[in-house]
Amino acid sequence: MKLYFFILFVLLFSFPAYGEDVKSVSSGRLRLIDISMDALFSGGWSTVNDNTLQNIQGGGHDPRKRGFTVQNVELSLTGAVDPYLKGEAHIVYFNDPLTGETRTELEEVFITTLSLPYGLQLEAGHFFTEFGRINPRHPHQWHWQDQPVINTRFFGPDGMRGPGFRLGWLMPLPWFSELHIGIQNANGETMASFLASEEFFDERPIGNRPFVKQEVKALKDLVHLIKMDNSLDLAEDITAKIGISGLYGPNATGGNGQTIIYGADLVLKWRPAEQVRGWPFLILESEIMKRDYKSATYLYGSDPENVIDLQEETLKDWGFYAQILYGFMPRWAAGLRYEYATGSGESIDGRNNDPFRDDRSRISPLLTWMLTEFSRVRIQYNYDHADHLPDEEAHSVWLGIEFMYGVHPAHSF
Amino acid sequence: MLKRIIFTLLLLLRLINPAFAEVNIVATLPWIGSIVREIGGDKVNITVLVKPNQDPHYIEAKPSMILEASKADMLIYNGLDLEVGYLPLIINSSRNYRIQAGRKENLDCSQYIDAIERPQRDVDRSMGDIHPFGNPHYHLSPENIRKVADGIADTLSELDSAHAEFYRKNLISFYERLDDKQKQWGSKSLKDKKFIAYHKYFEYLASEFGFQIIGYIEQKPGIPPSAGHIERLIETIKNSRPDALITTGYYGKRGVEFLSQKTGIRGVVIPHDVGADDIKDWFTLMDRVLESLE
Repeated sequence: MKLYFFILFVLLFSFPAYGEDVKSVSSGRLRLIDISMDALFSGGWSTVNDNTLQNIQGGGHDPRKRGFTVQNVELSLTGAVDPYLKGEAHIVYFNDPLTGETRTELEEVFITTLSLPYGLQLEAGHFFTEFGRINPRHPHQWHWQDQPVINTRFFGPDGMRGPGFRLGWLMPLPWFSELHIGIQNANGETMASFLASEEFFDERPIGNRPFVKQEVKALKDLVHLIKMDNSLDLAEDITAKIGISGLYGPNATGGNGQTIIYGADLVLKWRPAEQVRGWPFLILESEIMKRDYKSATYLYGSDPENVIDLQEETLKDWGFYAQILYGFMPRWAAGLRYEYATGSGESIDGRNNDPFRDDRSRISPLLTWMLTEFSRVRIQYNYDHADHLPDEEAHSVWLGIEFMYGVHPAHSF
Repeated sequence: MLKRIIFTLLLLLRLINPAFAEVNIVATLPWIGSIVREIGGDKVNITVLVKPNQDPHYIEAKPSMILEASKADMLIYNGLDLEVGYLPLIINSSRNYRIQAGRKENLDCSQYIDAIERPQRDVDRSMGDIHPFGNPHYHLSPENIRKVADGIADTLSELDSAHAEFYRKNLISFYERLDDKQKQWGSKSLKDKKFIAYHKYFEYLASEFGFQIIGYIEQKPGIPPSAGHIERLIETIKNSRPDALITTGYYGKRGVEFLSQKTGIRGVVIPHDVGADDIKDWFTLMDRVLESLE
């Protein structure tokens, strides 16, 4: 631990970063906070009832009610802290579709360094874990209206995030290559596959195992991340990005419970130089990930008739999604997503009955209409095939509207 | 022991800070690259982020752009919010302290120009893709380019003082060439011409060369025109008989073709940046732009 702090200290304070007088621009203004608001609403219907929808549309910002869902209303506040740091905060509001209760989430709040040497960048605060493609991105940056099934299974309803720090290194190579290492708290409802929380396990116990509260005793009781991204321009109009990610940390099943998650992601984009307002385009995205959830032994009960005695077992799950989105004419895009998830090692009541571990596939065609960069309407059909469903299948249609106002959004890759 | 090794390594890394033989410059737009080439000559190494035929409003921050920015000694851009969609992201992700806002190496060319069409009242996005600091398409204005070239030469001379004289000399020859060209361009008979334009792209050119833009195919900047607007525009065109309907290579071609067919007024696609259609530098760009308007 001491060593971590020592490295941090050296990096932060041994290199001067120079701020200089601001050149007088014809009319300057003091930019304090850039504010933006993004809202996602949806309406739709499904062949399964609302209770079942909570499982098959398991993302916290997925459309998940017959009728309407307030998926995600995000307030973003960003700004320069000083010449060395940039600050960012994202606060999310949504309504629980079943109870109507308003929920608030501190989604992210962190600082990013601007001037560390040697291609280094440090982020510290509370933030999304940089695993794969979908997890670190906010719901309004996703092309589809719901999060992939495998993300819901591994990272819970609201994505994996927590307090900690992360160091990114843009490596001195001829192509774009970025290495991330990170460390975050393992506990809390947004750390589903790790120490999680009792409330989370009441709703979605992994493998139906009981929750065991644990103390942080050593550095290994936190979650550790390693991620590497590489990007190449394959042609002037085709760019590829390939990432590999790994996570390691303790889990909620007891003393020697451990989780490892690893995965690979690929993004391929075609954007011809001759475009009309960004059209046409073709985006191919895919992620595959696997989780080894080593559950600890568990023994409980004073009454010899009612003893719970669970053996140590590693529950293995994996899954992927692959999606293609084609912007075929200005303002319009059509897409298709396919997903699959499965596993091995039994849940306590059988894997087939476990909505978050059973064999499942989903096909989702999508049609998007973008009025401008700031608003869009999407219609999506989901065909679900899942072992735990009574008829093993479900059909759902979701129509969503999104609008944003405030500071201009960044065109990130 | 481990501490000592790490500390030594970090110190060593700090020492290998190579003094640059050439100034590594990242420019956002091709025309900026062209002016920097005139001033910097072989003392600078230029990377241009945006391709000549791309729409400068809709650029995505590709990882390769971030990589270029991370290695830059200097970043030179158009400003007036034209690059707002991607440049802030590139600067933040570059981890390059040299090109952060507020430093001399972060050179916003618009600080040297007199921006026109600065909104005199509050604006918001109901008015379309409004640029609140004024019209950002000033690169077709010789008078403004004169000032930008001076600003670039000044900054280069200051940052790379060993070659200050070289940059000054290049600026003088740039001015000589510009003076000659301006005489040539001044003899073009564009005065009293009237045009309908697709986008607010030619305003600086119009004010310097004395022609008029009497209407726009885009009703609001960046928003495709409605059918009603097009109908009214057809009437305007028929009544006022402009000399041509003008647009740039990246969009509006279809709209111009359609209106041209409907009204019999010729449509002209004007090259919008260096590099498109074998345009090798900014002077050639101006030559071609003015030729196509004649």
